[in-house]
Amino acid sequence: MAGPKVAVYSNIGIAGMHELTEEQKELLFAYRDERIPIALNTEETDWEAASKWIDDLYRESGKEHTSKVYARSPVEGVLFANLLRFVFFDEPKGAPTLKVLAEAMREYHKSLPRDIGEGNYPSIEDGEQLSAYKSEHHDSVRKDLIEVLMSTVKRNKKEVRSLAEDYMFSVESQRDSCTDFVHSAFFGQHEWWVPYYLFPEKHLGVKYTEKESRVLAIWDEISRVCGWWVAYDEITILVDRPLHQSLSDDLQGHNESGPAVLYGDGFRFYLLDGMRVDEQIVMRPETQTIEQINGEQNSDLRSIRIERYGWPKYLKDSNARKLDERHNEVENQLEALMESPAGDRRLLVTCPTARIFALGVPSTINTCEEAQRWLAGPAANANVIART
Amino acid sequence: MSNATADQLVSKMSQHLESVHPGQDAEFTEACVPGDAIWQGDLCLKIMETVPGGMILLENPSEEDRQLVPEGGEGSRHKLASLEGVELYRPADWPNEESLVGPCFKLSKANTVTHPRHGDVKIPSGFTVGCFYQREFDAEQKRERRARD
Repeated sequence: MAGPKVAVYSNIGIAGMHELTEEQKELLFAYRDERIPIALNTEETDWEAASKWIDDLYRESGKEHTSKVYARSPVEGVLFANLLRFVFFDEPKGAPTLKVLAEAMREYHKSLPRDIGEGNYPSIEDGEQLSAYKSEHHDSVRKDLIEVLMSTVKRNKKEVRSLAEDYMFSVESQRDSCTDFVHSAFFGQHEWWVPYYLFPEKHLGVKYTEKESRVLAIWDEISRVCGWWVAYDEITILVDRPLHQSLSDDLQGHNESGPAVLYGDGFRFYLLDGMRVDEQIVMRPETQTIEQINGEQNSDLRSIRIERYGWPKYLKDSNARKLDERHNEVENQLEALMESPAGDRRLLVTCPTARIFALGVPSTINTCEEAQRWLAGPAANANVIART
Repeated sequence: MSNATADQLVSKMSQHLESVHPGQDAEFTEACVPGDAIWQGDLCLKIMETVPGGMILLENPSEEDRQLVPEGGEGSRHKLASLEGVELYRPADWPNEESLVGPCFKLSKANTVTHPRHGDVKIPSGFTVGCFYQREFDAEQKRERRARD
């Protein structure tokens, strides 16, 4: 059977097609395993090293190096960007230069703990994602940033303060800053394309130009020391790496007992098998309502909701319809084929380990016997004499 | 409005569980024939005529090879009690998360398949036993979703 082909692209198009040898395929997997710890690194961003490599990148692009600002999370980065945009776009009389402001913001960052502590993380309402617009912690950061700005303002202080307060607490300006931040961001440790281009160079004999190779190496260095970062002409905002990240065994973002990604200011999100879910589904699944579950439009997410809620409980609470019922005397099990309001079919069955399971079966199954035959797979024709 | 049927069903099942003795053993007897099977949780142990074609004999199985289900937490700990008198075969692509066919073993000595939670399954000498895994609808749906993405 032919192996997977690797298409290698130069900056002018496809440079060539290569079929991987068995040895190269092994190298590919080994390289992946080498890169995963870089992506999952939760040590604090090495601010100095990251600044140095980013300066090198700017230089390669023919640009001057920038002033740096450091943030604990992408959300905090947006708040910092908002302040910088206020000074840059609104140009209030008496406001400092971006360079002076950036220095003051770096001093502010130095005064902050990397982790504000679990007890201080912003809370998240059921069914919602974290909102920095409703967060006491982020409001206090906004206020702090205003004071940081004011510490650099020499004149026209009253007006600058008033304008800054309006700007920093304006939802509209923050949304603009957030959009700009996300569109301008590079992803440091999370850049997928860096290893994608490095692998052919390192292991497949692909030659880039000297400059391409040099620049790619700089991107690689950045990925090893830095979280996300945002590049502007005069300012670069660098973001810390998360405090916590977790994947499932098959490399999907996943955590059943907490956030899959958590930053030091409490910005966090929850993933199950690579699907983004809200905090309630992970941390308080039993508090979901039947309306929330049945109202879930995404069928994959609805499955996750029910799994977390518990299928037997869900079938009971959701007025599931019984399609068939029997006492399986050979295996000493009570069985009931149920259909949920959304049309999912489950075989409710007592297990010899004294538990009740709700086993999924296709919607074409109509009886308990059919369900057991489907579940048995290749053993469907076996003569079952017992179950333990 | 409550659905008495679903409610009653779950209650009836909970009551039934009171009569269940977890960990109760089961056994094949000398009278068993090919096609007879015992489910130990989600592992089906089925008496076979012969070792199916395409299986590969493990020349020198180690202690780890006693495990009949690919590693995946407590639920996967179905193990042969001993390798004494066991000829152990595996599918060429084992372990494979998408395959429902597991190892096959020939016994020249009586043996037992154990599990930390489910009851043991005792097997007399002279039998060839194939291992098959229960289908998991949710896992299949997840794989389909991943393939779509």
